[in-house]
Amino acid sequence: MNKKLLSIINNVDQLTLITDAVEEIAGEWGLSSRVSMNLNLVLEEILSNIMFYGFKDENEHDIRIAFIKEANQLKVIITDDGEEFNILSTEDFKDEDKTAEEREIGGLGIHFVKTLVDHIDYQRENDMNILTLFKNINT
Amino acid sequence: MNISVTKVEETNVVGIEGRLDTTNYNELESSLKELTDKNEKRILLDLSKMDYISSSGLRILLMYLKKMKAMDGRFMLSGMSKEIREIFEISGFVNIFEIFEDQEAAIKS
Repeated sequence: MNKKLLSIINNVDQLTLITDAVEEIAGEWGLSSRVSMNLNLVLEEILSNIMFYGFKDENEHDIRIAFIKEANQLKVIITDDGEEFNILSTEDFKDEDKTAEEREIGGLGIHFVKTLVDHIDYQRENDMNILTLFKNINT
Repeated sequence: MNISVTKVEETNVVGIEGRLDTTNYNELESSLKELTDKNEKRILLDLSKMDYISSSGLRILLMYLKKMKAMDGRFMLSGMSKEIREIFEISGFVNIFEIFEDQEAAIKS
């Protein structure tokens, strides 16, 4: 099976389900500990971002995650019905060389996502955010 | 995640075991707050048993690094794995934290 689908709601406690799912596919698909940790990190950053900033109401929302393995590449598609957010249009991180005193507490999560995956696609369709991450897994 | 706090000579060693993430970073924050509230000047985070950290965890570390610097104290890290070190490199944190091979080296410093 080269595909795994998961649906969670907008509650940070649900992030543990992501950890479990990544652990499961890492075992089944033979991902290295480095790839699975990075994948886990990228997903935590994206999903917590959606949960904290994506919804203007207090309602429960579904967030869908699809893991697809294609040859040496892993594709992860994240779909949510929150506010439009295109990670590709966010400013690049410029804090690396700053001193501790100069650094702001924030902006790191997006930077991790942009750094730790190999390619990102974003589409807004029918009021949904569809984010696709591509990660080479032969490393 | 499990957190242990022990005092070795003048250094407060905070051991983190497991995952430090969005679901539990506040537990580390309360342990560190207890130490800074007591005006402790030397804190060492032993990361040798930590296997995962996300930006929520890193934010707490940066916050307490700033706090300790302002108090004229030391906030040190030790024992990070290769995978964790990569995350510190990407965030530029290797340049702003005092990072030691192991606990002993940090305690002696």
